[in-house]
Amino acid sequence: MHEWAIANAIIRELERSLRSSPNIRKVRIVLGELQNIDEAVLRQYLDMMMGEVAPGVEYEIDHEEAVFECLRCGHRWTLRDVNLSDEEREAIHFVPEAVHAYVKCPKCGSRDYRVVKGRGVRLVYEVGENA
Amino acid sequence: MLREVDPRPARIRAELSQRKTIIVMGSKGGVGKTTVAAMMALALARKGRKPLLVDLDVTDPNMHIVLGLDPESQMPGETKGIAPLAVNGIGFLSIAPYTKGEPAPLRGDEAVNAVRELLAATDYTGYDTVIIDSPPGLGDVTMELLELIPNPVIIVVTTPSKLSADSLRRHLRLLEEMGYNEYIVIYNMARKPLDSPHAIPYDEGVEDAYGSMERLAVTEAFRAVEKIVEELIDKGTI
Repeated sequence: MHEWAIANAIIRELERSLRSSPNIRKVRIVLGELQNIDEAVLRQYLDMMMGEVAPGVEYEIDHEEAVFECLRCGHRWTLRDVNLSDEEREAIHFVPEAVHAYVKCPKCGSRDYRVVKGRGVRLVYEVGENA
Repeated sequence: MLREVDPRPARIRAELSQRKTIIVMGSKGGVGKTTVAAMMALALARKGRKPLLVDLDVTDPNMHIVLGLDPESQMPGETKGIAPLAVNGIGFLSIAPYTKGEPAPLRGDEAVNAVRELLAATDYTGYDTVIIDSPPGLGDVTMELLELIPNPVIIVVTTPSKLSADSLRRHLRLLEEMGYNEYIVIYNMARKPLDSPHAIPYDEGVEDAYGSMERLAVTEAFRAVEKIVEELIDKGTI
């Protein structure tokens, strides 16, 4: 599963950060709506891998709505304003930037827009005072 | 205290540090980076290596045309990540199967994001050498690759034209300023003999051979690339 590679990236990053900041106690994993990660599958892999690499570190998963902004007309929109087929959603799941192939600005029709938030996966560490 | 981090570079560096990674770059478009990258992958496969060829020209991917793959119908599989497509002993990864030939303009950060996603989501199992075809110029993607990839082997493709020579001079100066002194310059499409061990003759047969690795393999240009690859293997560079 592709979620395995994402879980592996999270674990590798946690392993790296723990070397320089051993006081990390908690990591918040923010999943952007655009990438449509399967949270249950991701949790399953994380639960398998975390104990060994980062014992005692807790994680929580948050979701972030995807918001787009047209760089031509300034219009903002969300995924609820567009129609995507299952195949298109699948392509965007693998590479979120593929969205530019299937979605145009609902107002002016431009493909020149940016994903303001809710793109993919990012980590937010809560580190101790001495970290 | 809160700190935000992108998890992808950690996995990319962990995977690529276990493999030889070749970045094929160049300051000009149309000098033949894609063709040279494909031929290098083919030459490596014929030497028994397990090359993974990655097209990171994310807004203008066309390596699949060289390889004869149709991104409309051929999708990579899923294992522990994206399972690259396979052709003639070469693994292949590109944004093309996901954008289906549609224009997908990406400004700086988004181009970098697409590059990170492709490199982080891949299942590298079984591949010993990664060959990356990059977009022309000294833009975001080239800078990102130099930042991301540990100890890359840098191949700079150029042509013997005066315009390319000017771009090449700037390109090499930047590489040297960044501490990359061991690049290899390949002079592609040379119409007369050059004073370089890394010249590839202009070969009309290459255009007709696009789409078939068997046909590419019998071109004069491929034989020149194969010699360069043999030299780099002998020296332990790749």
